[in-house]
Amino acid sequence: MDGFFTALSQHAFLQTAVITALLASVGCGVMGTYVVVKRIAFIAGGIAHSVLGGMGAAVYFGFEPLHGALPAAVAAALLIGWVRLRWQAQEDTLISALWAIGMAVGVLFIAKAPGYQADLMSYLFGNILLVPRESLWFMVALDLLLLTIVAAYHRQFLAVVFDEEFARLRGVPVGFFYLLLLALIAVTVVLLIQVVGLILVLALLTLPAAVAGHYVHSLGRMMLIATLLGATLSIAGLALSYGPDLPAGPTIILLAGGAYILSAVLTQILDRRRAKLAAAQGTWRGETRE
Amino acid sequence: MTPVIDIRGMNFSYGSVPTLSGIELQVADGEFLGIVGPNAGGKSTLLKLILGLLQPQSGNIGVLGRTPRTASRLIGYVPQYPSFPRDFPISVEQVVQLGRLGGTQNGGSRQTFLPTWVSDADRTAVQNALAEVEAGDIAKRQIGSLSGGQLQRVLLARALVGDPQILILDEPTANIDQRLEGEIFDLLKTFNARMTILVVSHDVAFISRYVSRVACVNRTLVCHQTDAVDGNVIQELYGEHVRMIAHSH
Repeated sequence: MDGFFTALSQHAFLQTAVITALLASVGCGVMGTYVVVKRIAFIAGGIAHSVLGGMGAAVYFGFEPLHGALPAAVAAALLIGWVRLRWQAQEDTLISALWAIGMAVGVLFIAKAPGYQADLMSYLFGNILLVPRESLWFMVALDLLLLTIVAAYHRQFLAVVFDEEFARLRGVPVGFFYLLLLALIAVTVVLLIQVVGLILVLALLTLPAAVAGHYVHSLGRMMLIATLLGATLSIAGLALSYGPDLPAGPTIILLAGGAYILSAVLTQILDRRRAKLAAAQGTWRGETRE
Repeated sequence: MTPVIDIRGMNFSYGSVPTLSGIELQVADGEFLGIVGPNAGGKSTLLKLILGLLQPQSGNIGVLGRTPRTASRLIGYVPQYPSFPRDFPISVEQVVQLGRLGGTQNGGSRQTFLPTWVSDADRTAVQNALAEVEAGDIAKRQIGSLSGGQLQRVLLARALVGDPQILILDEPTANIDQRLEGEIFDLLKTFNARMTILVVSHDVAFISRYVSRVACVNRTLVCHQTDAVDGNVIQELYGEHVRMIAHSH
């Protein structure tokens, strides 16, 4: 760890990696909270994996992979959302199809791309140490877009993720805001691909928010805690992987997974203890619940 | 006088299975209408058609002189089952605030494409609605920590906070005990002074003490004055022998 912090003050690529982790954690905290409370992790997974098609096409035609990832993610999000709103019964089949087709298209494009190409593994598992400094501005822009839209429409988003039927009765355009929410999740997926690659995006999108959900009981607080947790886990994972020269993405995910499992066990124990205490107090006072 | 709900020759089916046929229903302003009938008889479907959540295959539905979809924000709705997960991280206060989205009959707008924030008027309306259903003391509680009766009161407050002209409740007391059932219906009786109420219930004898008319729904709809609902009407509605049990609440 000490070696990492010493190196951090000396190497620009490490500083870029830390800034990347911080920028990605904003999306992971804010949109991850919606993914967890709306229980749409499978949809987010479908969006993430279909992105490879866009990245592969961008590589094939000589563009930056990231520039292919964004339109592919948004297109996948809108398609999945549209099918879910129109034909709910086919939703899981379509997500599975997009998941597989997107990856297959991506692999084919990358295999046939002319000239030297980056290793496929770096797209799948990411490499936070290789993020170009110019990408940071792109990430800043995506974060600002996310935060502005969520701040402006937080009531509509809350209505849609909490109770779609009631939101519809209140005149909220549920279809529009549901698709907007999925599009913002797609933007977040693109942010997180920089850090952990598209295979592991789902973990970073859900685990910090799920851990936050164990301890706080409002969307705003969940978003704040999940953002801080995402930043801490990403930087800690980066630091842990630096010394023994481990891949950073999987190290970050293992840390996040460990934090989630520990937190889930701890919450269970605390809940049982509280329930026992409440039952004992209720018996002693002779209280009954309404 | 123009009815607040006007349904003429309405038919609805899920797929090829007819659910409601030839429905005629006119509900007058200020009426307290009970809707009874067997399970799968089409009671909840009728409510969803009035709310604009479903579209009929044929016939017309008018609500407050508009189409159901455009009138939905002038209706307060309490569903049979909450369609949200009970562990959702949201407080009672926030749930009721959602009932203010889209404005009210007396103000606000339907421009829900525009950003909106919770105003002081919204906060006051939420406090008043919770006080009206005697749930002011649980405003800060998490929705998941409430008992069945408390949750029903919160859903009632969410329906009332938008200042509705019509209140529609789908078996609001299905999951609570008889004492609370009486308390909820006593509240509804007081609300009836300022709004039309439609309530679905299984307990014909019980709601007869509150409602002015009973609509019997079992694919078709027949309305009776409360006094005219007797054993024969019930037996005809359910299509088989119904055991009548005298009970008091």
